[in-house]
Amino acid sequence: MYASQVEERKLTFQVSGYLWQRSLVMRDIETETLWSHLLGRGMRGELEGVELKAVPSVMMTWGKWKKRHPQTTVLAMTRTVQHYRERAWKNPENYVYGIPLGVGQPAPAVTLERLRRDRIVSVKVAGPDLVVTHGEGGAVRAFRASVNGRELDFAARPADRMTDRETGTEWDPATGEALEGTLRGSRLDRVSGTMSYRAAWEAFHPDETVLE
Amino acid sequence: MKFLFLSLFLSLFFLIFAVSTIAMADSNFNPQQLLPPFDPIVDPDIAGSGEASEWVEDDELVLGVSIGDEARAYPINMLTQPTREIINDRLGGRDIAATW
Repeated sequence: MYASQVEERKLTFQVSGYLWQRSLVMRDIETETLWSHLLGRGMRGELEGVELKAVPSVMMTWGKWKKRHPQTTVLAMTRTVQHYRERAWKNPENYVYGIPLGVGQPAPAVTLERLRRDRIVSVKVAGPDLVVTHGEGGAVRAFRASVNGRELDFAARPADRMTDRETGTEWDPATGEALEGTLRGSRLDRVSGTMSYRAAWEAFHPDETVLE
Repeated sequence: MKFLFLSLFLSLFFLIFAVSTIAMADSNFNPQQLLPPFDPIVDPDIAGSGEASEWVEDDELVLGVSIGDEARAYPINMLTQPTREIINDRLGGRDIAATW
């Protein structure tokens, strides 16, 4: 999910018909630049080297999404297939949640198996500390594990909560909001990530850490 | 027996080929044109949550995004086809490309 606005210009994207490393290549109508979907970067054309701004999104079941966002609207198109339901993730070791932090930055990933087991996973690689959370409806989200420059280390708590070891504050792992404790009212910055096949992710990021 | 060895050899060959294809993938941009470009999807039809609940089931996976006060769900089984992988849309005052 990306912002279509690039350098003051609104771009309209189409499926280019190209595949690169078995992954979607997008093309914009306005400049005809080819963009790698997984990298979010202009690869050939006028906007080569430009990065698209990622918009955080979450993959989860419709039932849980609408409960969390009662005012939600829905894309109304015909289905192209019938599957992609909750049971699609029956081999969680084959999926990773990947977090590309930008050009020249690390792109760590966590297996869905690990996320299901631990629910809250700290990611400490070069670059900012992150926390990746797994919640209701299969939702996976990533946040910066710090508030006002202070790094925090999170652990899972019952009832879909997490706490930080430094202050004992209780947090909502779905929104990154501090609910109770000394940091109440603070909010963790959301970081954009994507669920993908582990093999596809590793083809794009062969030297990056995958937490299992 | 001979055929067994031959098929073992062939599967090994393809396995090595597949693994090396993945391993060799690097940042050299060399895309393959497999299909013609598809017309962009703009201003897609959108339904409200109540109406959609009549035809989207609770266990279906969606890509959910919320910007400002607005939230939108893109059922993944509406996006899985080359013609559908990008939806040019607008939400919470921002232009977005919903992609799968």
